[in-house]
Amino acid sequence: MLNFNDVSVEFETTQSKIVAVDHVTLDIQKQNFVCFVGPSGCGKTTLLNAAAGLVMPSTGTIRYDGQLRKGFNKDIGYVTQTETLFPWRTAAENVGLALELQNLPRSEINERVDRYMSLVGLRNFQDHYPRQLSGGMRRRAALARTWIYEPETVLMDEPFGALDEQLKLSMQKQLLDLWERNRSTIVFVTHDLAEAVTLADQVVVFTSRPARIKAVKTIDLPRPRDPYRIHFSKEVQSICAELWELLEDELRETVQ
Amino acid sequence: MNNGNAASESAVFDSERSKPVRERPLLSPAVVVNLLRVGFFVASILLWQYVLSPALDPFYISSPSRIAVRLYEWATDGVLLPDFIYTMESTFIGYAFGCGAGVACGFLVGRIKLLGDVLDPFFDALNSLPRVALGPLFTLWLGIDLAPKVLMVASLVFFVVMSNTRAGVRDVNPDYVNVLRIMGADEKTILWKVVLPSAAVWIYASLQVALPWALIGAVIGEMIASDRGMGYQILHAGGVLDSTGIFAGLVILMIVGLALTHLIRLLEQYSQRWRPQGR
Repeated sequence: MLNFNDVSVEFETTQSKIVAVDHVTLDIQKQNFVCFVGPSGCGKTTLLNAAAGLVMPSTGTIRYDGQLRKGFNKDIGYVTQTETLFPWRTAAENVGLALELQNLPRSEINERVDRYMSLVGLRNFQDHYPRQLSGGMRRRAALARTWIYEPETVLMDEPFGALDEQLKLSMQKQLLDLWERNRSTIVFVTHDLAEAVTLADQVVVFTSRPARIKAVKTIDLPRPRDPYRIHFSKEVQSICAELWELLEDELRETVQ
Repeated sequence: MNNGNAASESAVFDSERSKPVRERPLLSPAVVVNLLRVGFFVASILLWQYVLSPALDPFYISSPSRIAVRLYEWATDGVLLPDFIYTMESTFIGYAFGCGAGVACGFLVGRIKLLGDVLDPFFDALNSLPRVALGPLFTLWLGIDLAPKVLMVASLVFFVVMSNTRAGVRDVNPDYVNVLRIMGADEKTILWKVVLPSAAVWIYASLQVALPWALIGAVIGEMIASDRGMGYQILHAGGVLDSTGIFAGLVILMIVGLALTHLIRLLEQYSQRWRPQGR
């Protein structure tokens, strides 16, 4: 239902043209959990930006539910990599932002904010301003801000990248629990292969820039999955090894 | 959410507000600053009273004691009250109009790029006009009562507030705007929820800067053509070579200016409490 058809994105700088995404064709099925992996700077973020409507593809089309999309799409939530909590709002006011836009009654907003802030472990930090939170806490608040309005599709750009290992596992579990319940479509960019395998139905491996699809790997591990358990399991490790082989050449190119 | 939580809770920081606890010095820095301020003030007054006034000539520079006596007389017999109110009236009305128009226009030219590009040089040209020189025109159009003074005040305040608002509106982080667009917000919502709060810092700064200008505008307006007001009284005192009267008038204006500036600063501190304090 989210279809990229021959999508390319080029940026023009004063000196040269940079191709960030190169003829990507990809179908993401409804209610699937899809992870993007690939060398850093390869153009995964640009692809997400295009899906969210922040960037127009230079060629190709993006369809959502079969309809051509230009500009912003309310049904797609996006947790960007850049920090975008509003500094003049408290954590709770930031998290409740989308509900405010929907003009929900105050009591319902408060109740849901409370629930989602507990979910990301920030229950006691509702009245803190972003500058009073640590980097990891700000990431989690940003997640709650998108999760709370339960968009049909959620794009997430390395949401757990800045978190320590324990917190990351715990957040993965929260995310999977949430997803088992509301079954949104999720596109999740990560560097962490084990994370991708733990979470995803499909892992899409990208080449180094410009981003082309190198392989799509279906992960058949049974659900519901428990990240604590399977993170270090043999199955996950062996799929990671497989993915790593695909990535290795690309990484070598990037480093050179 | 059990593991990792304890670790992250200790990671909370607010470098501005919570400092490591140390042994406190006898006097806090704020007290020291205030004591030094009072000392400086008293020393200046004493210097004026006992050195400058006798050495030069009280006829020209008056003296703190004479000024104090004059202020006391004015306060008790209330002769100056109507003048004072008159000046405050034109200051406030002009300030309100100038700020309102400034914020509105700043928003328009900040948000609508074409409008801004077209009008910017005209605003610059108008702003470079010495407003005092427009005084005779204002008098010609509006007479010598309150209206020309209000216009004078507003014309000074307007540009300060407008140019700051414009800068603030253009400074809005596009990432913040995108957050709302992705949530499906319309332009009006974006204006209220992102543009206004993030431009507020700039607007408050300009409200503060504009305040002395409002007083200046009112007094100048009264000096150009008036039969009332603090500016008129100061001019009159000058005419009869009464330096004490001039200084007493200035003291009143200064106190009013300080009080108003302080008021706006409090307002700013309250509405901008998300920012680090102590700047």
